[in-house]
Amino acid sequence: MDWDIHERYKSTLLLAGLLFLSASLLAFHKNTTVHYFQVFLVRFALPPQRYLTQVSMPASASPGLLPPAQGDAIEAMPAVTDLSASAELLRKVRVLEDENTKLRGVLSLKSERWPRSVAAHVVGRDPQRWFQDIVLDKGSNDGLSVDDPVLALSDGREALIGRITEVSPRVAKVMLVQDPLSAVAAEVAGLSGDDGVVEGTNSHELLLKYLDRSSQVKIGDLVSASGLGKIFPAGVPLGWVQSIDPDPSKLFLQARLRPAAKSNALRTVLVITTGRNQE
Amino acid sequence: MKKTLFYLLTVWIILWMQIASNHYLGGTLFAVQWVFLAVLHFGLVRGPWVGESTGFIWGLLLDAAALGFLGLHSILFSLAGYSTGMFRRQLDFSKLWTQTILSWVATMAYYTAYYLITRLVSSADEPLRWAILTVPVVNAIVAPVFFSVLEFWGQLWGQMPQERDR
Repeated sequence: MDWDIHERYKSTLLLAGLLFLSASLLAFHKNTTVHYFQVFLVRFALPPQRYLTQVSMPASASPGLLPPAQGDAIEAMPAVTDLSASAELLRKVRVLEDENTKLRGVLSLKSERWPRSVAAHVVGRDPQRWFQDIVLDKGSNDGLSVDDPVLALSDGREALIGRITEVSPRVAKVMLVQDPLSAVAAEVAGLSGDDGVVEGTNSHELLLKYLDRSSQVKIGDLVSASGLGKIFPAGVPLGWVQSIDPDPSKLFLQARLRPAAKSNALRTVLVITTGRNQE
Repeated sequence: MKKTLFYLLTVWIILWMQIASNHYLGGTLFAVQWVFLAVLHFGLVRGPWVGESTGFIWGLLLDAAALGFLGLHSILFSLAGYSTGMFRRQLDFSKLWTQTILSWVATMAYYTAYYLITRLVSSADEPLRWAILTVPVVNAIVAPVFFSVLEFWGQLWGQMPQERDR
């Protein structure tokens, strides 16, 4: 019984200490010391994330999607007698081919459109904040800074997916356009040419708000960043209009958008480096 | 030394499991909360001291991995480890149903607390997600098997449950 009381007392005391420590970390999360502590912890958490990103089969590369065993990569394989080993090798080749295609797309986008940019892998995503942020494997050491816009390649075209909100030397956090806190100045392409603000809904969809009630916007119209906020480059697609309704105040129209980039298939992204916040 | 190695390895392996689960299933409604289940197990089997300590460390590592608010998960996991540790004498943990119901209730409580805290901290209107209902069910289904694996893993290292130590 004495042991019980001792254990309870000791555990409660420890809990109080741990809660105090956690609450202090939360309260002073902008403090430099806390930031360095976080950077230190990231070193332990990052290796698994990097490894999983490297080995995982991209969602688009389902078996049979790519041509059967042929081409240079397959010819270069050593003779494999074991069927399961060769199937594994084939899977790896498919993964590499798919990644190669995606990287080539991103790199061509980088050289043709955005020479001052950095390609990065998505290495972390919290399931409870799935539509809010992602973690990249590049940081301030690679020239990234807060508010840099982030693009992805989707179906062969660029798409705006968010902006950097936190940078450490080796990793960076991106606030996705689906985050309810995100707001991007946008314009509707085509005859309408209306300006509005694209906000996140914490789901796949986006919401284009503050459209004039007389707007000629129609379903299927492309909505791009207008560049008015000075953070996102003008003309980068955000999504397509799916439905149009009056907003709750009935003063404006609002449109639901299908995002240009699939938020569930983000693997490699391009960060447009502006260096605006680097000292 | 052996005990320290056991805890270090366990923390590391389960962190990997959680990150892998988030990586592959994070976008679905069925991402198992391995770390949370492990904290419950440690609390129940090894007492509140171990439960809250491992919960705190795992919480910090998960917050760091997601570059989230450092301290948020460590508060929730420490509390979970402490509470289960304190209740363990009132529960017959060997029963399958106890493990299932406890995991379900605890995960629901964890998700509700997480939702309330983020709603409090974030200026955005945090909408309720279906995961708040599905993940507790998935956790409850997986828990008995996972607890058995953890117990077996502990026995491999000669780490007997606290009750049996005394």
